[in-house]
Amino acid sequence: MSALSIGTELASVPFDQMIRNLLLAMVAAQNDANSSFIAGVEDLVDTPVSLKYKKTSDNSNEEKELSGNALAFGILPTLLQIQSGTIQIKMVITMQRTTEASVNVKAKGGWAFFSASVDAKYSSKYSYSVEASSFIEIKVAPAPPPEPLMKAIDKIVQDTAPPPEST
Amino acid sequence: MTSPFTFFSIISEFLYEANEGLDQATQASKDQPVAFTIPQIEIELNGKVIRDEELEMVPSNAFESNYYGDKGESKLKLTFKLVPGEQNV
Repeated sequence: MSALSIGTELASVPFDQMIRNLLLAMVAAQNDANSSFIAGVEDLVDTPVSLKYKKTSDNSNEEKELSGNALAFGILPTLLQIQSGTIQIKMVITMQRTTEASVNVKAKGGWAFFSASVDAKYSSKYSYSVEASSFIEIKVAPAPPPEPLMKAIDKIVQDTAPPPEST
Repeated sequence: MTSPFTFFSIISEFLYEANEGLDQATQASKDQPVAFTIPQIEIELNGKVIRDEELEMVPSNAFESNYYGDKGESKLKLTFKLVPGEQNV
């Protein structure tokens, strides 16, 4: 059995694609959380809150009411941010020489790493112990936004801020 | 069965592919409001170190393990860290 057919059977993933997909999954998950946060803010803006109370003075009870939307009363949706992520993978690693036919594989040296997770099926089928497999740990962290972008955002915030209410 | 590779080939290829993967993710997410990077990658590569004309290593997998036996395997440990101020590892 050739190395290529083994890789195909185990649906092995080139190392660079594994890193790429892991990072993009983090981006997609955080974007989804951000969208939920914005939707939560919009919901709170549309949620009226009215508080009635009686103000007691010397010889009278005056009814008062405070009203506004939920956001004005300081109710905020929660936003979880991914601070860090770690993936630890037990895997078998094979190096395969690439040919001109495999145009999707980019490799400097004419060959590339392929990795396949060691699961029960692999262990059982090939009588291979998980302990003997190789190990990769990838740490992921949010990247700080570029400084020029932050300056641009500050400028936009200043230019689009509502004018202060006149008293 | 996988052919043996020199240490240089193995390390160089891991480094290249790690940078390539990070670069692809950066390019694909450059218009997104959030971005992530990889401050560190640790790799522990099990395999057999053999000597042909120079030292070479055969990464361990089922076929190599059954052929060479899985006792006394060698380990090649690599740690890649993000260079400060740079996007690539």
